[in-house]
Amino acid sequence: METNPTYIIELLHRYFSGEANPDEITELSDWVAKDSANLKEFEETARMYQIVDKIAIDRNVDLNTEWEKLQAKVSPSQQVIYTQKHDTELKKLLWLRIVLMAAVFIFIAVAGLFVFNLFSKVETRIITASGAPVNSTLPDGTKVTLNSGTTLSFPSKFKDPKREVKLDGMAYFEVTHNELQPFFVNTENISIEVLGTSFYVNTKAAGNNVNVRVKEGIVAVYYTSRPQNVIVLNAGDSISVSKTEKSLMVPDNNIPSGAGKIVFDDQPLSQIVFQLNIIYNVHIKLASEDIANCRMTTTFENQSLDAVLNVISETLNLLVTKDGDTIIISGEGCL
Amino acid sequence: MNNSGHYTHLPLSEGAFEKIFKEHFKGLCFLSQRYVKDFEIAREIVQDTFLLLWEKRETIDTSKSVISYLATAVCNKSLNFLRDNRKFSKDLLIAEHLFPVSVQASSDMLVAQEIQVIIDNAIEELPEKCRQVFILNRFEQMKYHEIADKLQLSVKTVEAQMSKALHHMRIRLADYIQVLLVMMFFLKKF
Repeated sequence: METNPTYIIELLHRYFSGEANPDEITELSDWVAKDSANLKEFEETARMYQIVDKIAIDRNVDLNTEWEKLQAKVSPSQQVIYTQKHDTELKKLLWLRIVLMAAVFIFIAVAGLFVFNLFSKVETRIITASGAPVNSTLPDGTKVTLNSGTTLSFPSKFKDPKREVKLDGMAYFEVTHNELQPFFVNTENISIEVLGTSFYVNTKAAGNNVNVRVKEGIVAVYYTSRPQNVIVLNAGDSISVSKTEKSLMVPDNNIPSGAGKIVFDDQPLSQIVFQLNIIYNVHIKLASEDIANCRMTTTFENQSLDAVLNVISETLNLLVTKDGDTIIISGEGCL
Repeated sequence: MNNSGHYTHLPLSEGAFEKIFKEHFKGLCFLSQRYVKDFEIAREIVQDTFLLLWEKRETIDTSKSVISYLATAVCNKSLNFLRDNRKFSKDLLIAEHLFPVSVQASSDMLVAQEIQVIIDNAIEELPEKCRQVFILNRFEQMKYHEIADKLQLSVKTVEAQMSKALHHMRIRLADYIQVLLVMMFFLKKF
């Protein structure tokens, strides 16, 4: 097996062009598995092909021609069915009349229900978290956790083509997937559109910004007045958008993983953990409800996550353990 | 429809069928091509799938998502194609985020206007031969040996030109690949 880099690159392109034979595919698979740098190369190349192919399909596929091609396949077989079933057509007609009447009745009933639904009043619900984080479930099953000092408003029923909520503060969403009804989080002049994902939003971020960090799924962020200027985030991505900027730029730095100054002023551990999760982009869980109310007053400046967790565990006499990607804080409750 | 001939739900009308076809044909072609890597094959798979839907239009349960049904059928046919032709590599498909199959995530994709502009500009910047090879392969669905014949080049040269072209595009898109990567949007169309 050749390992010269030019050969591999060409193998890569043969694969994505559909020209690689089974042996070459195995070779490529081995190469990708060998090194994470190879995997990254593979993934980036895959993305390039996707982007180009999507553009090519959008521009070159002629829907009318394709529809005609389908019609051509459909008609011959239909004629065949018709001639074969010619004898039973008359019998079918009688059944058809009965069935049609039934269908009309059902249709009226269903239409009535639709109209009823349409005109029933939709109220606006507002939930606010003032002291401790608040968990809630929205009408479509979406789970939301509001940090303290946050207000969320939403309709009692998501009826429109969209699901829209309005957020002021910091919240974590786990949006129920619904491909027919995208979910929008509106914050002043910035919109965040999702389809079924988990992500954090902070509308009161430092620097007069809105921060979005995606845990799972895909999220699109844009200024409400300019929806065509969109930035899309994948799992693990984050963005800090200025409320005053007019143009959505790809940021140089994302939300830094080492934070500047963090102040906790007699805050319960549940809130501290909520914020650490956003700031350090980690997943910290409390082992039990008992310790959620342990309070701390402290300031961290340019500390690493480990340093912060050390201080927390020593101050509150708690244990910090890691379970895969999750960090667990456990111990006995505080007074 | 149950055995006694009663309709338990309204069947898919011709108008609805055409609407679904016009709105989702391209997206489904894209979905299939991601697996089979060959546009003509992808097109055939999607046409066959719509034909199947047409034949089943009276019995299909329209209370469930027809799009999911189509996407699932397209994915299955695409995977079968790969298996039948010994082109199926689970590890590579996993690296391409195509396996396990998740129809919601991969049915459609939006390429933002700014990205299209960058790609178009990048194509314009390519040297003549390189640009021709690239356009013939990606936009006119020609195979390497067909391009080699048409442009009087060796297949090896065609391969080298393709990697050169994609490399240039990656440089141009470098900023975007870091932050926003592939936009795998599943767009609602109605």
